Amino acid sequence: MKVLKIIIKDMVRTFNSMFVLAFMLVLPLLQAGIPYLAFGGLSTGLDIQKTRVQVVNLDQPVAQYGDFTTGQLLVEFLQDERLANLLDVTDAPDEASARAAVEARTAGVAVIVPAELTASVFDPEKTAALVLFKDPALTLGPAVVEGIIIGFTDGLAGSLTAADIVSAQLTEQGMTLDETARQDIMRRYGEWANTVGESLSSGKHPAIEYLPPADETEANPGLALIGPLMLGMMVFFTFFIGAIQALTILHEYEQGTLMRLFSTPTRPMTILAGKYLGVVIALEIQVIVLIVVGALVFGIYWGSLAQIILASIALIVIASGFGILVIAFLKSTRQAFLVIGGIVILTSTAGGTMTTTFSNLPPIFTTINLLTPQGWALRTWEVAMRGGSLGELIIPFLVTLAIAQILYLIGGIQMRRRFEQ
Amino acid sequence: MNNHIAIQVQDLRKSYGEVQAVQGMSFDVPKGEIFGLLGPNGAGKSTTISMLSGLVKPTTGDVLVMGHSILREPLQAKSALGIVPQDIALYEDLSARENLMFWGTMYNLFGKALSKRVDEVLQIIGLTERQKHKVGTFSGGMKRRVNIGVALLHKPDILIMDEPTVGIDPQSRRHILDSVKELNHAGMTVLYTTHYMEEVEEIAHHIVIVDQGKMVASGTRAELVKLVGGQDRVDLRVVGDAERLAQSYKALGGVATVQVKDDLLSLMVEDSNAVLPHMFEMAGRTSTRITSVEIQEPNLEAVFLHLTGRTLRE
Amino acid sequence: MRILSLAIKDLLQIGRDKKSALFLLLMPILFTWIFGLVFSTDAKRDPRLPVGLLNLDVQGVLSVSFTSLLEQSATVRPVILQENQLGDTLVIELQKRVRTEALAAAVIIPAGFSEQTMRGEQPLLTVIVDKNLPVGQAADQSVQWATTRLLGAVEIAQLSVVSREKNRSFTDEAERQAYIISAMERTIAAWDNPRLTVVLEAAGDASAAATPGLPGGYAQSSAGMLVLFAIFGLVLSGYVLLAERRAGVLQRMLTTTMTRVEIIAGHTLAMFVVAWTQILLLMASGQVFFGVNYWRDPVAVLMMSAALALWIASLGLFISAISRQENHVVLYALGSMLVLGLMGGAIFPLDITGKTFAAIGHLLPSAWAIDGFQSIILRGAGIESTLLPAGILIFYAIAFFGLAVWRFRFE
Repeated sequence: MKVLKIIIKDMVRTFNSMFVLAFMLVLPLLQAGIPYLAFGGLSTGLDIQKTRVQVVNLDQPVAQYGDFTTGQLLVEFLQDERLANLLDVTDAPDEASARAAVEARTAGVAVIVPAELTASVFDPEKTAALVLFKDPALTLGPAVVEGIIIGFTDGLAGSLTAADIVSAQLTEQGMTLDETARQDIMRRYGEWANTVGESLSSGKHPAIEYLPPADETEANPGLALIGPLMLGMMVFFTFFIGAIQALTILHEYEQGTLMRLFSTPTRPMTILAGKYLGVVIALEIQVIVLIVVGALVFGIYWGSLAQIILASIALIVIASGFGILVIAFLKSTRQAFLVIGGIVILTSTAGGTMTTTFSNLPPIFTTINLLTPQGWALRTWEVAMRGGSLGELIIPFLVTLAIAQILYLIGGIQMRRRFEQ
Repeated sequence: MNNHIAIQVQDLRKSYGEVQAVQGMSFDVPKGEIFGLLGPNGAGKSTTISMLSGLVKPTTGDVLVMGHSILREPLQAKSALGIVPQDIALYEDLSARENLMFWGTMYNLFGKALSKRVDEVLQIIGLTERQKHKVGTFSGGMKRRVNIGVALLHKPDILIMDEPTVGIDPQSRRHILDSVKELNHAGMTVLYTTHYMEEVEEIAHHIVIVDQGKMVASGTRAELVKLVGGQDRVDLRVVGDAERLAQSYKALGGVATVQVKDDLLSLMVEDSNAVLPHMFEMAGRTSTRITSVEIQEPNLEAVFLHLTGRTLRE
Repeated sequence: MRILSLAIKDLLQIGRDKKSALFLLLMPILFTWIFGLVFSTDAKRDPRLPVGLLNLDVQGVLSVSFTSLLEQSATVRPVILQENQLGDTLVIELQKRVRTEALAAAVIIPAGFSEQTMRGEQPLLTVIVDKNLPVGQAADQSVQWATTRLLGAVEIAQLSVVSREKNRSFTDEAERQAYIISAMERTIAAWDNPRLTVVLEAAGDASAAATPGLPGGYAQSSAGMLVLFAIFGLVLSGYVLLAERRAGVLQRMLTTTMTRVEIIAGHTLAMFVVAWTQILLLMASGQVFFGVNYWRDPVAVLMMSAALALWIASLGLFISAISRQENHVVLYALGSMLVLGLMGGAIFPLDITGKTFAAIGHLLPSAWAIDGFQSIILRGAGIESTLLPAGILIFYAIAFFGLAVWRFRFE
């Protein structure tokens, strides 16, 4: 009963504190909400930014083929209205001005069509290189342009390659490929490439059947970053709040109310249990709110119910243990926030909470993750969010609990030493 | 243990490394009395109180509270105690009522009984009108009243008050002293620590004087004052050679002790009326001018000065 | 002179406090180092994404070609798997490996794939991948690319066979097969050396090469980290001011001949020095540990860092003005760091976000700060490119300073 009273008293004080509420709920939700808005939440339709492209066509026609240039074909392809949502294409008078536009950041990419493009189409001995001159600070735009250009060149190169190889093989056999036949081969290959291209643009590959890695709720690929981002922030802020909540123990000690509690006919263990459980319950509330909002508002898949429960328990227990350990060694509440902030930021960063959206991380970094309590909490959740089995989850879960036990033990011993004079 | 004794302090000692904060304190607090613990800052009063309350483990010694050892039966001992700490120990972001309700549960009061008792205590401390206001918004005096109220919730047999009037206004101080007397009249034993001599002189039935962790004297006010032999204290402010004058006073009959500090001479004399004229005469002879004379009848300040050579407020 | 004295006093207080000094000096370095580990490259390690390849079409000519195409990829590398390694539930095992990111994707080439494809049928490769993750998307693109090229090679081989048969029939099936294989091999070799290539050139310094799966490498994100951390660092100066207010010292200063403006200016100057020190330290760490070339144009980088420090100081002053307790300073500082950082492009670049969001983000001073630094370190631009971002930061500094003065309380 007394434990409950201590918990209730602490909860009332917690929820009266704008600071704690902001850290528990507002900031983590902002951390997920802002990327949600960034990647689609602010509009109902396609809202991607157009890439400004300067194209300069230096391609020269080949005498026997009239005024036709492949370069013009490419320019028309880029200016096709089907690409109007992605590209804003302007003709540049010359290469220097196209490059200057990128340097001046009035364009994201300059496409420089070489003079020998058409010649390379008709003469197997000739090669040509299309130059994409990009703003290095941009990521998606240049990649989109590159993808489009490569699609075009692959199609063209494929046709050329088809004709070259057929011709070469026939020649070896003492036969020849006349121009009509050559053009026919290029046309047929081009038609085939178009068919494949159309299939790809409708989201299917004609030769691939996809299987997801787990039987899970389909997320919106456009918002794929939100889940890992919110996970990282949830873990970060849970550890932060764990320490802030544990700080109330030290605060009460300085205020005199903790010693006053010890002077009442209440067992010290009851008092400390009440304080520790208060930390746990505050974290529970935080995690539940974040999970529910994440699922309902951002569509995040956290895992099956059993996995969510286990992963939550692991996170809450280890974060509270960490908080108690940190506070046990803090001399006073003066500048506590600075120290807590520093320790939590560093261990959380080392634990991987800031890099949950990154992939193919170096092994040394993933090793360092596992030297922090945050790393193990994250690992438990990642198994759940990827639809792993309960069997896969159990090991990180148990390791997390074991580490939490150690943290509680050390923190508890140190706390006791301080309060027993 | 004697049934008439509320607290029995048995050779209490506390050391912090080389520092001996309390050295062999032993006294009995009779039931129904106001027991004063008087000493200057750093005398060891608060450390003694902390050991009595079970907050600090004694290096050696024990305390029996209503027959229960604070070391071996802490819960039973603490149930009999109501502690009013020197510093305000309340939750400033909770209201007065919320504070009392919470602390009441820590003293094993629950439900309607707790609510009723909280109403009573609010009445006693005069804060019924402000019960729903946060303690953080209270004045210092009001906070002290809530601080005392918490200790009264469970109707303890013994109330321990550790310097309850430090830093508060005279009106609030008056209120506290009157409350202590009222509580005592109602049967409560009070252990009251302070460095204000006039407070224990007013309220305490029995006084222990402590200095540098040791008991230097114990008894009623009358008994303690007799230690200085009923001597008067005479304070003279002089202009001139105070040291020379002090030397000459030492040879004067009826003068027990002379202390010099800058331009102030403090003397303990048998009869101030008889000695004073001679003092003036001697001053004249040494070309020293006396600018003010203050005569105090024997009090605890004098006792402390006599026993330790220092004043309570040094 | 008195403004300077006040600023020096603040700096002394911060410097003498061990915790503050550690926070000021050590944390940026540690943070940079940890984050740098994320971007570290190991010469012995192939940085390409691992794609598991289970070939059940053991004798198939296309399987060999497909493997070869994957090996040509700049993004993925094939990890050859054997059926007996995976057990009976091989799909489940592969799904698990993809789920746990042991593999970025897994490809199963079914038995008879080559034969069926050559016959003109359309057998399907099974690809296990999480398209919701960036790594899955990257792996999927590479597998699609390799598959398309494989099918392209098949198409070319079939075209060649048809052309050959128009002129002269094959003597037997073996000759036909050999012709097809030769055509395919030549095609795949030709993909390696196409006549038509695309060359990428980046404006400015090309040393900040992108790392697969990451938005640009450390040079890309270092400017963002710089801004984030510099904002949080203003907690230190905020504490000092708050402590002064609570101790009544600020009010006492008003009883001297110092004016309000002088008092505020003195504290702002201290905040500026603290912020600038942290920024310079972060830049030095980035330069020393990770080769981010901040100092290619010292004048430009000093101007940008000073403008950033000025804005941060004004933000710190504003936070101190509205905070009543220490924890408020931390809350507002961390909140500013997260909101301004997220919306300004510190965590993910604004060019990958939606139009509306990017437009809003570009209104923020953090976005301009990141822009200014990236002009120097990525675009190799000089001082002229930093004039606008620095000017905007100074504008925001003046605005925040005005707000702070308006809200400032001395008691």
